Amino acid sequence: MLNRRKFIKLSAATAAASVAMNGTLSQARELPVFGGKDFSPTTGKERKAVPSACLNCVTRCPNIVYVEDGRIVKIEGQPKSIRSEGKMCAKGQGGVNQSNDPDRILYPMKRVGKRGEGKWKRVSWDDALDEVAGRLKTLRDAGTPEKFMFHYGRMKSSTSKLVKTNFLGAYGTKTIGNHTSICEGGKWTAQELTWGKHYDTWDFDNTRYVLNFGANPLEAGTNHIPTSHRLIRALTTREVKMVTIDVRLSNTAAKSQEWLPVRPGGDLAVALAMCNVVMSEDLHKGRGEEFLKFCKVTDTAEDTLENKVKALKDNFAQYTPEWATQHSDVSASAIRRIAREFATTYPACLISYRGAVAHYNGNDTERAIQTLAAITGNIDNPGGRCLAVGPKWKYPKAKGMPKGRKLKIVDGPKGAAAIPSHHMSHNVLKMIKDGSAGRPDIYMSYMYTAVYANGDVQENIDVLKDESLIPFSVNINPFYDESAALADLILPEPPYTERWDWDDMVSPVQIPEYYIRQPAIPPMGETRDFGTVACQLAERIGIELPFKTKEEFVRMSCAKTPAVKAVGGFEYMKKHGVYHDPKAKPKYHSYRKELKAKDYEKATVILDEATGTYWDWKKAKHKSAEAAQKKGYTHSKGAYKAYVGQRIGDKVYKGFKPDKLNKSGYFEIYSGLMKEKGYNPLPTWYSIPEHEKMSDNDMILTTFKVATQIHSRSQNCKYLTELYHDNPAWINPVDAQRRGIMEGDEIKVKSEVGEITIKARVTPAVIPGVIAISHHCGHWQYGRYASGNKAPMAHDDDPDLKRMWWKGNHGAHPNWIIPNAPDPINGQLRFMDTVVQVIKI
Amino acid sequence: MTAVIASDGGDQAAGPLVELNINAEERVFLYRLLAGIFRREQSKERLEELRSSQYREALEEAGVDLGDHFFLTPIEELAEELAVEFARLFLLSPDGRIAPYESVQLPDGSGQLRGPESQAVLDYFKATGFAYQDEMNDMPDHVAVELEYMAHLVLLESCSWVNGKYDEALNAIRYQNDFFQKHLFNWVFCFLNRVNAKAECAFYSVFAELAQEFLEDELTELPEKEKQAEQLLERN
Ligand code: SF4
Repeated sequence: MLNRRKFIKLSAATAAASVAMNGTLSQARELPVFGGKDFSPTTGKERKAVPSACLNCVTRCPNIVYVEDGRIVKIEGQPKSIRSEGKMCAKGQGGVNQSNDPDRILYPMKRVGKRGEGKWKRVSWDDALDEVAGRLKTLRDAGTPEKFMFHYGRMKSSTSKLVKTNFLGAYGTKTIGNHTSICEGGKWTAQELTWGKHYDTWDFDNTRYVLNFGANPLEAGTNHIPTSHRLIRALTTREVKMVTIDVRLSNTAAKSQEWLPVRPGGDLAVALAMCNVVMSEDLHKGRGEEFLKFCKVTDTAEDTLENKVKALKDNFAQYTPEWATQHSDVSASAIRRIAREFATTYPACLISYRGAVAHYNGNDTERAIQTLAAITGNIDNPGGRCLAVGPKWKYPKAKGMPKGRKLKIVDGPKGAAAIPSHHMSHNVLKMIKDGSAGRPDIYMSYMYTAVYANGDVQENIDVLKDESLIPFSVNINPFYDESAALADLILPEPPYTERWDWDDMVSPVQIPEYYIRQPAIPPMGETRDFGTVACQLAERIGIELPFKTKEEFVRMSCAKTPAVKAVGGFEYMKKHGVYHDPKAKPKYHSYRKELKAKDYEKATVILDEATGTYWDWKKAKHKSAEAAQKKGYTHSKGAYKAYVGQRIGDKVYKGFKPDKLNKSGYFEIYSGLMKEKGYNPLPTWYSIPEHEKMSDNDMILTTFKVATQIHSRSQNCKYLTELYHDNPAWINPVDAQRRGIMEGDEIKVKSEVGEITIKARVTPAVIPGVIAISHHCGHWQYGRYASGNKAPMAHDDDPDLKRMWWKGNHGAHPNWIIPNAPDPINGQLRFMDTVVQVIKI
Repeated sequence: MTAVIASDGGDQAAGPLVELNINAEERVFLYRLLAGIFRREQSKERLEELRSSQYREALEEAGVDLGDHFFLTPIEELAEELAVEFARLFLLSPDGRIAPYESVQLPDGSGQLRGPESQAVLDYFKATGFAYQDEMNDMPDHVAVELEYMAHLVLLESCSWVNGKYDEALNAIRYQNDFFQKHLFNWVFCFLNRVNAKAECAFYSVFAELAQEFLEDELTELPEKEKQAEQLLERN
């Protein structure tokens, strides 16, 4: 601004003279409020702007939905959001098609032919609810509520609290399956084992270096837009260096300064070798060394720095860069160079995702990555890998919840995974088929197309079709997808643009943001928000919930949540959509907070000497302090919920509070829980057994996502599917030539569970030995835009149906050939390491 | 106008507020001046004003040296000379004119006169409540019109500061930033470089340089101003 001083006189002289331009513009009306306004390009009429939130992917960005003549016509980013800063991805904008999809289901439908045959009749809501409630009541009255299985996918925030905590809690079933193990559950478990919480955020705004193991934040991810636009800003305006380690030249790899192609599963070798470089070259000294005070590195609760450093040096000594090259194909010199750069550029942000984690050895890959960040001091610091910060909503709860009962079918077969803290949803249908742990009488699925999204599609179809295995199947869905097609009853829900929610996704600026989703238009047809349907079922069964609709639940939550209530509660949120405390400071280094004596010197709080953890024995449901001491913190069921703090030296810190596992408040590089399960407590190399046995002709299948589609719930969006509807398999020219495959040829890809036919894309953007197939495509239901197949009761009022030039060209689905095999530690579906054979047709 | 703000001395925000407002006032006239230079040929009356001692001093202080030729050449002759140069640069030239339109100059744009970019600019004006009417029937994405539009927005900002409407001032800054980023910034520097390279009269190259310097400053200052204004609003 000071530079302007020299213009002052010139400006004043101009003010006094007439040298300025004669006007061509005149102000006809007031300047509208920036952002949040839109106008019809044909009539010029202002459109109704509804502040709401996207739910096309899990990121759940605040948005503004524009309505013209009662129709949703456009969706934009919410400029007031500190998370998205008004940005929005193609998927979010394509959400406009969800509401206007001509294949939407608008009425409850009941199967009339054989299951899966496609014959339906319309039923009234009263009949549908009576039938479901009647069956649920019978099970409950018989004392077997666990025979009601609820299997959900993208159910978050208020919907989860209403349906899962309240409705299912009050009903009494704990046979609840989620979908996290087909997503990134393995990463979450590994993070729970190290720093307690499942989620991490990446502080790109403040970082000076980004090292990326298998994440693709510019195209997808659980906090996609809030992080991707910040990453682009860091790369372009601050010239931050990014290095990506990936089997494939993703768009994130392409925007990195360096792409290090890696063999599937080799990420672990690279991460271990980088730890080796840091420790052997003493690059941990300084910030890494300081952070070790908060780390558990040996089996001793409080060890000396010297011993910790020695343990790390000893553990990583075997993993030299030269050794890693043999397992990863990344050169030793590159591993050394990048490890040194990363360790000596502070702050540096270490990021990772499914590309690194969805393998047989994914658990220790993530633990090694966490360790690398820890020994360089890049944990929960500005510019580093941080503990997630999100809003804390309060919500109404039903009284007198029964003790729930459950069928042991959500964690996979006994022993299949040692610590499946996010369950094993991809094995649920297999468990139902097996039957040894019991079978549900009612299977209800919500926002989860298990049949399409899990591996081994044929097995999923066989189980879901079989009435002897699943006697009654209910699907809640706005669309006729593959799961709906195999249901007995479909309860139609409006898409997210017509629903209520409060939402709570984490914030990349470490300041919580409160936001809501509200219907931009009333639900179309007879569709009903499932939150409200759950209330109506509860009423019929005789369960008392303190609210009658989802809207009421959201309204009550706004009144109960102090931060939101203080600014005007529900009405404020309806008007503005988002709220954050403008005075809030970003939250870093929260583990360093010292507890006051009164916090841990309570009568019910004791010290667990083995771990140095203070915990509340009463909260852990022990009868006395003595009983608790005897059992110990680590072995008391659910003791993590009773965690108070961590003793380190003569102080007690907030530490790294556990989320799901009974770990201490240390950052556990050394995991006692892993040791108890028979694994090495420190990050260790595991090779992938199937890869050891590969023949010369075998290849490895890896999967990926693109920027314009969500995993499995967006192919009905015509704008997105016009952009991406076909997914040729990427194959390196070396592999293609060996098999006589040319660009565009039809090829067969075969695994132990099936085979698919797909087109080939011959490209050096994938490493030799690997074939890469994206998700999203190959639907056989989900309406005409996705699969060419019309849904029952669909309508033909969309003129674009005639312009659908990609009809008959819907790509192939890789899950037919991916077995439902888990990571043996955390249960994550191994999407990235299936052995396949590839032949030209 | 400044005095009104300055009298609000008890306000802890007065320092940055005064700074923001003075700055806005200056910027209005700079945008207008530059719009006037590129809009059309300079009339004799305008040239006389530019040659006044007050203006000469102000130009010198801003580092603008129009040279003796500009100040000493008889006014008729100067006007004629500059009109020819204006035509050679922007209207018709055997070696190709520099069409002063976003739709033509935008790198990787349509390259068409009255291309989709022209419509997008017009839509922007309309959406923000401005009516466009040009007696010369020229395009709305003319560099002078885009500069004039910025002047309007900065004026709205300045008036809002004076009236104590900080939220409206911030709103106007957001639009300035947005329009600058979405339109002017994407092509104006490229345009100005071409003018500078092609100009034979110092008059156009000197004003192209002045515009370049001022707009580069805007590029870095606008986001900064937005942040300052947000903080000011939060504090109040
Ligand atoms: S990242 Fe895209 S699809 Fe996901 S919530 Fe945000 S805008 Fe929607």
